[in-house]
Amino acid sequence: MAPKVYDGAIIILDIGRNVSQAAEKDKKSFFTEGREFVSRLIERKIMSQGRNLLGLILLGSKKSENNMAKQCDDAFRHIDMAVKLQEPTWQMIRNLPELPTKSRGDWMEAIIVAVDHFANGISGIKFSSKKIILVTNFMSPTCLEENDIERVTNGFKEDNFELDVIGLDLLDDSLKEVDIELARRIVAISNGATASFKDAMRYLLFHKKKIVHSYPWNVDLSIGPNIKIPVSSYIRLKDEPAVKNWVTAIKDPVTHAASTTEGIVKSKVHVNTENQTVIDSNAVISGYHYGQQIIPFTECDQSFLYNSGEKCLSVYGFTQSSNIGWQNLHGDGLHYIFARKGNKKAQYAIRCLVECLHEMGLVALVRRVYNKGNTPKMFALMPVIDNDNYICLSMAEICYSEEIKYMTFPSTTLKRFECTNHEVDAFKELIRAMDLTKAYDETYDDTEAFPIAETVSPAVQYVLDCIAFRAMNPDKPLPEPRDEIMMLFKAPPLVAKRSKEPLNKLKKLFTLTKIEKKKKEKTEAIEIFEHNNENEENIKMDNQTKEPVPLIKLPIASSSRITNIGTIDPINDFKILIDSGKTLTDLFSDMREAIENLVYCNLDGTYRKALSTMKFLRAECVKADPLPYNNWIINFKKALIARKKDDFIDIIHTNKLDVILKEENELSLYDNIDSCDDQLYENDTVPDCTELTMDQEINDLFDNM
Amino acid sequence: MDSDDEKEEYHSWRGVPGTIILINVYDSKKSDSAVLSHVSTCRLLRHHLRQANTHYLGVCFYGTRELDASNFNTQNVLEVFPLNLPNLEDFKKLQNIDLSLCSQDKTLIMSDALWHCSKMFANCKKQLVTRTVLILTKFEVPPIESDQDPTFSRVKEMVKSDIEIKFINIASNDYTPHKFYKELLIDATGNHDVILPKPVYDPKEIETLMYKQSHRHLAIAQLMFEIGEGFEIGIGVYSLLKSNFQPKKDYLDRDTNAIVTSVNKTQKVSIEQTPNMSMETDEDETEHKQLPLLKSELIHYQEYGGEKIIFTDKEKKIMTNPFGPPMMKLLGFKPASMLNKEKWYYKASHFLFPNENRVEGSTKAFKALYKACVDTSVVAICVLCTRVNSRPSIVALSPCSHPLGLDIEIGFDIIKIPFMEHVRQLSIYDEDEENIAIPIAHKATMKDVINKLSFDYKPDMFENPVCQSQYRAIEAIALGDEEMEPYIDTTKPDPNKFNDIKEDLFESIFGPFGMIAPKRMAATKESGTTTKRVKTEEIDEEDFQNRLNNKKINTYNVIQLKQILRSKDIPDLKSISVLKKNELVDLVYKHFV
Repeated sequence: MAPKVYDGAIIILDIGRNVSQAAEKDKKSFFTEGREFVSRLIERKIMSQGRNLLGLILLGSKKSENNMAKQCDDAFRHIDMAVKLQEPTWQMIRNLPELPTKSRGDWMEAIIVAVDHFANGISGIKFSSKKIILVTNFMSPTCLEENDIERVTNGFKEDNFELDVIGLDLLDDSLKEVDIELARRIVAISNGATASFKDAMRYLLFHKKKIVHSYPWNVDLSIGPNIKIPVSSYIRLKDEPAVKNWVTAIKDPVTHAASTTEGIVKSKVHVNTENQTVIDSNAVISGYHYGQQIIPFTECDQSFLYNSGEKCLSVYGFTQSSNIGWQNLHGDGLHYIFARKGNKKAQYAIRCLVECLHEMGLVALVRRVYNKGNTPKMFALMPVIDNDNYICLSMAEICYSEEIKYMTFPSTTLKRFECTNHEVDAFKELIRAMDLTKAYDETYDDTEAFPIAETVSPAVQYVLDCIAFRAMNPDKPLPEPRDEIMMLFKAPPLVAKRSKEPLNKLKKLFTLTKIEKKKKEKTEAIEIFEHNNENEENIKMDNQTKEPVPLIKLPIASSSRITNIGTIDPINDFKILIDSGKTLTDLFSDMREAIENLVYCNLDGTYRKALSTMKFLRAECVKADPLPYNNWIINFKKALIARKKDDFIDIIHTNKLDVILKEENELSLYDNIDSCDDQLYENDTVPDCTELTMDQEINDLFDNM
Repeated sequence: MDSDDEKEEYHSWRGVPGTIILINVYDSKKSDSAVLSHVSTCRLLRHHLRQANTHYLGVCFYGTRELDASNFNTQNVLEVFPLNLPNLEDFKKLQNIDLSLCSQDKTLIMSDALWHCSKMFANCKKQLVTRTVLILTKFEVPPIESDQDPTFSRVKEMVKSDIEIKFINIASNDYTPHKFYKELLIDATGNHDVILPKPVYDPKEIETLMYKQSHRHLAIAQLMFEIGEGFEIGIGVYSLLKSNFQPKKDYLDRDTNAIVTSVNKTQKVSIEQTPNMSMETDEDETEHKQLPLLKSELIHYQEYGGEKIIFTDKEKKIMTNPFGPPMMKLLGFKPASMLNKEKWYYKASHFLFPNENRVEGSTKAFKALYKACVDTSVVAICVLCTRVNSRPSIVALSPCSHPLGLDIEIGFDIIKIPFMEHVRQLSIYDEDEENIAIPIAHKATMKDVINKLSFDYKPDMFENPVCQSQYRAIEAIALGDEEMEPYIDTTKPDPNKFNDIKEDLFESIFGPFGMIAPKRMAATKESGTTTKRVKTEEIDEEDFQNRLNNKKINTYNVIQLKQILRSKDIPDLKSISVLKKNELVDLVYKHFV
């Protein structure tokens, strides 16, 4: 097997006496800043999950453990090869020394140790880059001879080493020491970088997510039956979660780590809903809803279904680019299509196609079948002539007619919505003030804020932050998002400042009246409940006095014909029926049904009628027999939870409509309200989740990809 | 039918929408409005059946004269079926109604029909989130004089009790509507500027209109849009496309057709070891007990830097959005030209519309912002978080009008702007670095092909063929039809379109392109596998002839041999993939010498 290719880097951190003192009082010492930088660097390397190997040399260490020191007796003192090249770990950060030493080491010698380690310390690995990151203030000058230094410099060039110097910005001309001059020379020769701690930390401000490579999907772009151009499509943009592949495990009660003795088993069973028996998955077929019916669909019916044919990318036609709006685009991700690698003819044809489409302002619409038999999808192929030297077609899915929701919106052309030029101009002023392309002054490299595809995602950054934080602080609660992340939610200060004036103008021009949300809360329900008798009368009075038109004939049967309890006036119905000789037991189920209907429908939004009926029924039951009411209320509450009408449960509580207690009627089985409540709420077990219809569709979706 | 907690896509809204379709069949012999309404209603019902959605529908005819068997009174309203979930029986019933046999009332009375609708809503056991009456009529003949006032008051009553009344003007020609209907519409909408809808007569168009009118108007989020501190307008974020339109599916028992649910069980297995025997434990003594798993026992971890980084279930949830409640905030503006869809589209856009119900005056400010953006060709850059659990994103508001050809005057496309993490760097070879200018003649050939294939795109012109065929297959089974309704695959263009293309000219300029696409297996990777690439290189013809003449075909490797064999159209050459090398060599000699 070919050796794996890695990016190699060895950090040389100066921990000697020369870095122990802070330049000014109340400022951090070079050592502290250097240590912070190195731990940030290691953390970023870990989080990026790239092919990185990292080594660490402590310069000015008490120890002199390095390969070169073993070979030469007197040289290479106080240089400790603390970590040999390896994949970065959290332990590397934890092991960084807390305090500077009193020794001094030779930085040039440390570089030689690093170079030697790259050359001889590790085998079987190929490096795509070899970096030496030197963190020192050069206050401890090198003792090496001029010709030795010359050899090192030449070696750097020949073996493609790169020297980065962090801590001092060597490009700063005011630094004139001999050693700095020397370092500057090596950095220049090796194409290295140099930065102050401040700049370097700014560079490491955000995490770099693991790099994902796109693999090509190869197909022929066909135009008609005979023209077939070999192309490859690559994913260019895709929305992915910050971290994938979470592993679930069981917490070990002692160590709080993942348990080694207990595991999670996930199983899927098919259960017949009628008799609750488990059914073998072979005996399960699909059924499709057609209105209320479920139509069984066996394997042999599948033969009716559409056959999409072979994998293809065939042109349907060409249309004006302006015909395809943002709303027409659908589906995830954007692909770039290039001619097949190595096929000059195809490259020429695609290039010609891209240029022609670009000139004509057209896009191609294509039918794509990802793999034989997959659902065909329609895509738009749009010409891209990119600054990144991409000349290609970009491909995004367009919608099918079934996907259009046909929404309607209220008209906006009404007179009261008309706005004057003056008002529009006020917004134009705001637009000028809040121009994000001029968000920063000239001291910044780029004056644009929130550059497209160059801004980091706050959500991704926070998740990565949390992981890094938890690794180093396993017992502490997760931190709040840092300020740098929260900045991504704010207009840049300069823009915010500029917007003040035009905003004030806008505020004066437009009257915006907040509408308080109508509260349909329980308090109101109770209130109405308490006063409902008067209210009802009032309403009746209102109707009679104010409404000249005859009242709507509501389908209320006259009392003489009442045979069952309706939802219109259940209490009255009940009274009439009791008078006609029925008993509470006879009528209980009707009453129950009426109440349930009233609650579930809740037409008045306040449950007024339902509550008064319940109160009435409860009173009747307290008098006669508490059992039916108690049995029902417990089941009813469960039903309410199932229907997500938890709010009504609270209303039941506040209106004291819960189970009838022993103190109210001897026959009751309940001493207090709590004695029946524990059956109500289930434990916090992971619910056995019924597989939704969605799941299958998601599966299909993946199949179709 | 306790489907309140159904796995509907919008479970946070209680109840379902209810629509009663009221069809005017008065005078149906003279005008075809009633017939058109009937056909369109059938289509709408079929649409609802296919989607199996939870929308409640009822259908009534008015202007008819029916004998009510129960009380021997004549009624001018015929309830075809009550407000209900659409089902097959109702569909058949509606389909089988022959309008020509429907008896006419002597005069048109509307108020009774409206009263009947209120009754239907009142009798509906289901909690309805919206109540709509959709009246299909021609606005030509008003109800008789004595019925007009009652009709107005009924309409007012219904509007008061949150019943929406909508009209569809069904007629095949332009005509002067009667002023009664205008007044009725004013009462129904409470708006004096209201314009009567235009007449429609195409059943498909009526179906779409009816569907639109009966559709739920649900927003992804209703938010306050903070333009600046202390300056907020109410807005709704909508999705104009749905992502899931497949027929609803359930599992059934093959023998009994009983509904089968699939249950995913997550359980804890402990491997307990019997004490004192740890030295000699074997398989039998290890017990596998399945226990219920508590959420508090669950942990999630990621491996970074060689260690397991552990989070509790709760922490993992918090991590998805620690940035607070849903919100939308303006950050600034950028030139619209910076945002082209061919480069930056990565996720379906949403749609922004003002919401007067949160802040009065929102629409006006929204319109002014819209105009200002259009005039100055800018997009507004905002930060948007639609739901508590959704990741906040930076979006651009781009002014748009009539998205998807819909009747929406203004609004903003909410375009999601990709973050750095969304972009994948493509290491595309730089082989075509020579920046050759393409001769005009070549471009002319290409443009000729393009022009011949150009067409006018409409957003609803492509139907998902899989879905359509599935609908038809299900329908055929449901209705007991022998044959499936024929179906046209809209994803494939008319093959005749390609007849005029000068393929030979195209081929002579740009072609030939070589072999057909290899399978993914053989796809050349970017790096590393150089050896494989050699294998799939094209076979040099001259070298091949030499080897053939010198009987050295066996110096080719298996892949090359297969390639050689495939290059010649040899009949019955299906199974070469299973052949051994010497067999392949023999085949080459057999077919090439």
